[in-house]
Order: sequence, then structure tokens, then C-alpha cells
Amino acid sequence: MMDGDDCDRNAQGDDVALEVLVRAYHALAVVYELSNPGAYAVLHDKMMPYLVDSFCQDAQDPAAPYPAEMVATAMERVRCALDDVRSDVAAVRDGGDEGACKEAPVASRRRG
Amino acid sequence: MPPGGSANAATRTSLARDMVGRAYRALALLDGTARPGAFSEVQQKIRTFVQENVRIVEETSGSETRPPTRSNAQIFSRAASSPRRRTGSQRWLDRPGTDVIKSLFGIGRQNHLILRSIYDNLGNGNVTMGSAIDFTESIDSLNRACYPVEGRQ
Repeated sequence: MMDGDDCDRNAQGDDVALEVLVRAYHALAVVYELSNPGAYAVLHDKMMPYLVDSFCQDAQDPAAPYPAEMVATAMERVRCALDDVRSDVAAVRDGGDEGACKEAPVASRRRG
Repeated sequence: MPPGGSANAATRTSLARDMVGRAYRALALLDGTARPGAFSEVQQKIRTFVQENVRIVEETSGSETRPPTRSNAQIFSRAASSPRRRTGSQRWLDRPGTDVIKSLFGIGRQNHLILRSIYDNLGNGNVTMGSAIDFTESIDSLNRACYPVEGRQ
């Protein structure tokens, strides 16, 4: 059984992994949007329903490994992260339309 | 924090990580479908981006584990001009960032046997930072084989 310190370390590691993964997703979203203008906005509206279908159905199964409440909390965190990505991708597209600097914004507005 | 609170927080974060990983795979599949042949270049940028993040994590893990702070633009700019980094012999797979790679490329709990085969193929886990590229390339190909249509569900 893990003690408190181990749990804290694992939680920190998972936080880092999640942060990096969100950034990777953000980077790919920017690439996708720039090559297909408007495409990410369309995809974004479908992504959360896709994840809900993928995870929440399992959570309703009594034999599922995670309680539904835990899945819902995690889902909300992902929703916030993806909303940040959507905003940043839109900013990149608008900046490109105006011929401005192509520097991608940071998808790191962290949520508590 | 109540007993089990840390464990629950870790589980929620792990779940969120799995969700974003699935979202990433779906987006990767769509991008690869929209632009056949172009995804390998994108993947290279993403890999470099992730490895830069892993390096940052490694550099900070001795004193404090914290999220990376560089912007994507900084990372991509660096990726375009930097050669492969080799930091000498180290058990790269034991480093904290390995979980990041596993998550990013969809190697989850259910795929531990696949991950095991990658470890074996790379020489009993003694992998340098430079060969992490080969590691992720192996995961890429395995991931494509394991999740050929997942984003279309």
C-alpha cells in the first residue's frame, strides 16, 4: 500500500503528465486547424460527447473500475483544458488571418 | 485531506490523462486522414515537443516536480534547430517522463504486454535519451496497429 508521500509523488507525476499531454494535444490541434481552417472548431464540439460516450458509459457499469463521480470530476477537468485549447486555436487562426506573428499561444492557463 | 484523498486525486488525474490521450488519438487519426502522408512530420514535431518537456521534467525532478512552462512556439522553434540530444547512459525508461510518453501514445494499463515487448526490444530498458526517439517511433507503429480505427467510434 502506498503511503501519503508516495501518493503525493504519484499525483504530482500525473499532474505533469496531464499538463504535457494537454500541450501535445494543443500543438496537434493548432497544426490541424492551420491545415484545415475551421476544422478544429467543428471537431471540438464533437470531442466531449465522444469522450462522454467512451468513459461515462463505463462509469455506469457497477463493475467499472472508477466511480461515476470520479469520472465526472475528471471529465470536467478535461473539458476546461480542451476549452482552453479551443480558445487558443481560434486565436492562432485569427492571428494568421491578420498576417500577424504566428507564435502559438500557451495552452497553460492552469485550473485548480 | 481525508484518508485516501491523495489516492483519489491521483486517480482523477490519471483518468483525465486517459481522456486527453484518447482525444489526442482521435485528433491524430483525423489529421492523418485529412492529410495523408503529412502526419509523420507532425508526429516528429510532437515527439520533439514531448521530449523537450520530458527533459524539463527531468531537470526539475531532483528538487521539485512541476509542470513545464515553455510555450509551444518556443518548443517548436527549438525543435527545428536542435540536433538529437544524448545525455549519456541513464535508465531513461525509469524517469518520470516515461509515463508521459506512455500516455501520449496510448500505452495504458491494458497494453502493458506491448510496453514490455518495447522494453525488451530496446535492450532490457537501458535506453539513452537519444534513443527515446526510437522508443517513441516503436510506440507509434504499435499504436497504429492497436488503435487503427479508435477515433471513428
